[in-house]
Amino acid sequence: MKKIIKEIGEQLEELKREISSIDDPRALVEKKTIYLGKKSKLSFALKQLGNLAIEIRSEAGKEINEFKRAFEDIFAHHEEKLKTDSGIDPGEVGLPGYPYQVGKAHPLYRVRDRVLQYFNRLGFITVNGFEMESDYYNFQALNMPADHPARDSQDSFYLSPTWVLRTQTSPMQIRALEQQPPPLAMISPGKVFRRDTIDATHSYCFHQIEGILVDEGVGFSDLRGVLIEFCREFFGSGLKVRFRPDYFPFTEPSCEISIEYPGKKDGWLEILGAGMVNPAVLQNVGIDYRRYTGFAFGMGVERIAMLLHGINDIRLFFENDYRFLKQF
Amino acid sequence: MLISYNWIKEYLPLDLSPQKLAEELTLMGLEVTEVIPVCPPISGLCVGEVIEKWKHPNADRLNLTRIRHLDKGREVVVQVVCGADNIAAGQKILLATVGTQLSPGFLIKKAKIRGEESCGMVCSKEELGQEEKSEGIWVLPSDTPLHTDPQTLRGESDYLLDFDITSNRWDCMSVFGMVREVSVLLDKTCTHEGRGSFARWEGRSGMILPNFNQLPAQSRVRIEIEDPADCYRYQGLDITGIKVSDSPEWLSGRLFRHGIRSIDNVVDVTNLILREYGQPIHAFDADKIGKVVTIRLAREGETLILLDGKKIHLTPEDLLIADENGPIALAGVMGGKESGVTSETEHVFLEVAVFDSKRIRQTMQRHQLNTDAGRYFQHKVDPVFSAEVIRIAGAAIAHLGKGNILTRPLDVFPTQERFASKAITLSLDLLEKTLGFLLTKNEIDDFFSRLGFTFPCWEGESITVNIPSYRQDLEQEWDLIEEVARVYGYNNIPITYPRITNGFGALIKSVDRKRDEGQQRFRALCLSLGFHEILTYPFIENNFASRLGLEEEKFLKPMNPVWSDVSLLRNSLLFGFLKTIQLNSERKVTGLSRVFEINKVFTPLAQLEKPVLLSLGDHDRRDSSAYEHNRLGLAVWEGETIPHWKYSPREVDYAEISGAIAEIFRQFFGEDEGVYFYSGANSDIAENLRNTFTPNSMVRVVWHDHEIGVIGMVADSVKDYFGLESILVKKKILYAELDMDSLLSEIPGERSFHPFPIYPAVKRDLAMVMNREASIQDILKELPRLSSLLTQVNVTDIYEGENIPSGKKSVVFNLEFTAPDKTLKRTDADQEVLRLVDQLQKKYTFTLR
Repeated sequence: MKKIIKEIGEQLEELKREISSIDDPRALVEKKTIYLGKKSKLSFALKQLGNLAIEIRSEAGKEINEFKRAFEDIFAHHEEKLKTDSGIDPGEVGLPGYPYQVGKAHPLYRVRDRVLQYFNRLGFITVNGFEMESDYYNFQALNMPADHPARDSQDSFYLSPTWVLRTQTSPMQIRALEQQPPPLAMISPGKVFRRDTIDATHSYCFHQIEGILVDEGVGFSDLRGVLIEFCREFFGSGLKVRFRPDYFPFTEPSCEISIEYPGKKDGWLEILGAGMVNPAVLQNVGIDYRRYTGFAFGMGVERIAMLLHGINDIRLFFENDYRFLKQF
Repeated sequence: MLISYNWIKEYLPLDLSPQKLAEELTLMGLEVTEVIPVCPPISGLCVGEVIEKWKHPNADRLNLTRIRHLDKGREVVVQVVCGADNIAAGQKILLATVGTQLSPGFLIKKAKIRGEESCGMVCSKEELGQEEKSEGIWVLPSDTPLHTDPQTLRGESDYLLDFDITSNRWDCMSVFGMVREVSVLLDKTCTHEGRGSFARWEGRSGMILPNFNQLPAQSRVRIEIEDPADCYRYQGLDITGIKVSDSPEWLSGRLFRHGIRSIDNVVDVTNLILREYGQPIHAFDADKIGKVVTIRLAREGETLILLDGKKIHLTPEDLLIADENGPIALAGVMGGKESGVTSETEHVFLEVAVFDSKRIRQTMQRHQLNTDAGRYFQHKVDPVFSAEVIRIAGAAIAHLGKGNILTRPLDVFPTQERFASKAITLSLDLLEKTLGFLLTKNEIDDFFSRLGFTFPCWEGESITVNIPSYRQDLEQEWDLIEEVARVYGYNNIPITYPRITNGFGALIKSVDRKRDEGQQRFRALCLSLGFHEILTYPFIENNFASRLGLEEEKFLKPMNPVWSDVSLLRNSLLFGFLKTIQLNSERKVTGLSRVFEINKVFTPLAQLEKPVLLSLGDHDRRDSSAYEHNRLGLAVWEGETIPHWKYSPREVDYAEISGAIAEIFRQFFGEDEGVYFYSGANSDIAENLRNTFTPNSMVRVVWHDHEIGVIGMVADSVKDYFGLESILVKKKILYAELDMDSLLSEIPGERSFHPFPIYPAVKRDLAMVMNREASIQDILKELPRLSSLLTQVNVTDIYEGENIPSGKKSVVFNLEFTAPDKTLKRTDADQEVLRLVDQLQKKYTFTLR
């Protein structure tokens, strides 16, 4: 027993020498286990007390307990010292900090902004439009006279016989061309309205982005260049992009642009509608179509966002469930 | 629109698979959305013979059968449970053996039905997808050998191509129309003569096309077209002595595959012709119409009972077919019941006409009718080709009904000249500019000839061609460019990049641009303050408006809303905010308690001085800024917070939102942001929100002496509307709305640097006791004006109660003084405080404490 007590005394001296060099709270805990833990000499000695003869038991017990107190004091003192030194309570280290919250931009607007920034870098200037449009801008100037069949399919909200909630952002082609004769490179985002009921893939209001470039010598080949790069920027470099004829009254030739998409039956997913600005539209704003040509394009922001983020229900954008908003 | 692959093949030899054809046509602008297999071979299906039939011991309606069939050439007998009444011993039937995949999701398995084993299924035509509805199992001719391939009994397998045709290409909305496109694609010529369904008639039953030139003119009926603008061509043919009966199986089968129910041999021909040639035709009972067939507009008060039994009241805009006794058909949409073909009909008057698409479209909308014929006439139908159609259709009806064509058709074609021929000239220069690359004259010649454009004629660098009558969509020079491009292949066009410089948008009003940029900056500031951005629907519920005591006249409202109870365009963003709060509360979503939205609200048209908008000419170049306004909405509420071991969120109150607004203004407009808050408000924003807030809680936000928004506490009665009561009635919702248009009317310019004092500051507290109602904000506003040494002032304490007389409050201002050129002495600061107190006392009532 004497031997053990002596060894404990040596350990105490050792700890006194070492303690000032311990600056990691975890190392301190380890040391504590060594000197005071269940397998420590001290614990062993305390357990052995019962086996000692009565006469020496009390003295040995006193001695051991004094050592124990001395160890505990040293550790307590040093723990306190570490705490005040670092200013951080070791017990708090792994706990969640205060709940800061940065405001989250709406996912749809984030995607809109990314698209706008892309085209801004190319030199397209952002212009905002109006949600109420006159029949002239929304239809007539875009080569859709009153009896045009495309008007039926658009099924617009009429505010008066001559005003509608715009069914497309294309009126901004006209408004921009009126303000800026060619050369013009413009991109315009905004909300559009169709008389649709709401389900997972339809909404009576949604968002579009419209772009137009008019200058001397702008051809369909330029349209292909710009929009293929756009698709690749957003959906993957080296992606296959397919053009097929489509029909819009305000472009001629018109096209639908799709990207390869294994999820679809035929392997293609439509991303953009585009085309060469119809000379009839240029004439409507007094531009000589034999001198200037241009291309225009439009896309649905919800569609792009749904595709980019794998969102399957358009209603999520308008519902504002925080569990949706905070993901992006 | 569904078109059969086999049907196309009846016109042209096709090496392309249905899938490949679909892809190629899509790339030509005729989009195929789906290729649907029809009657595909079913592996496991075989001919069986019912050798025994007895009642199922445990089910009255079921039978047990023993059926013999061949399995890999060996005869086997299986037991099958069958529910059909018409099954009998000795019959030959089609058996789906165990393992047969009858349709997706319908696998035939070995089963026990009410305790009896069943190894297969005896099929009906319905179960095999060959008939819409079957009365029982399909009983085969009794001499059918067991080794017969079931496919030869079931009819040919085919594919339906489901086309989504753009509205300009109405000419492709038929089998023959599509065949013309396929022939462009394959560079082959094609003709309708002796091909298509007609060939089946001719080949199988010896139908002969009439030669009208050899027939006498008929004198029974006279045709009068009132206005050629409404009816481009009208042809009528008498077919006599027919017998109305069922159609032959191949005809009803063909219609069935295209989703059309077989009616009788006359109606079926009209339906088939419509699909095959895209020309709607109508058969009258010749004995039920008069001597003068007039195509005219309806007269006020006229009515007509349609084929479907519905009686409609005609308007003077509806185009009619009428005889001397009144209307007999709604032109191009639906025939009349009185004059229609019935099983008793013996003589048919067959109408093949072309009507104005706009008239038909409007009539369909007006009477909410949607018929096949109408859908075709909504687009343009080729009046030239209709002469061929009447020959084929007439012959078919006469043939199937065993009747006669004894006279040639009546034909009134007042617009013949217009449709005779159309020439368009294309300049190579425009073609090259538009496509961005050059094609040779030979290539262009080749494309045009494939497209069926005739008589090409080069004159210098321009080519003139004749356009066929079915391509009425081609009107302008540039329309030919798309034709060239799509035959060349859009994906073969080279890829180039345009040069764009900054000048391309320079003339767009810079004011507008700055305003947009300003709006984006406001948005960024809201985000950085921890407000989450939301996006809400612009229509609000009518009941919500009435809950707020707002009449519907206060709102912009479309003439044709989708829902009558959600028909108002918002005049404030509030509704969407409350919806958002409702949804997140109901779903117990944690962590959301501050949101904002910048979006548009609307003013009703009538609210503006003059109803000029309603009397616009055909052309309006003004913008609509007077009616739509950009607003910033902000809300903070006691949402479900995320529980935290240490942090407890501060209470939601007014200062939370006013502080946010002040900070946004400081950041946007600079330190001297000029925003103040006062009780009460009367702007437009305030008017629309007055009943939203608890009494007296409305605060106006004033910026440069202009009321630009409000803040308020949402009243319980409003929360109640959303059923928020149970969840939120005790929780505060604070809402603010600001007028972005006014705020952004002046965009702050560049900020100038204000040198800050380098000498140390001296701080002094100034404790004042003043009336409880006195405005601290006014003193805060006044102080900096009174002292040039005052560099900062803060309110550090507001106290009422012990030691302060009732009706009074004690306010402590902490003042910071700095001199620009020296270190201030304590005494200088004390003196300045005294001077300030002296000055303030001239305007405000207070005592020092």
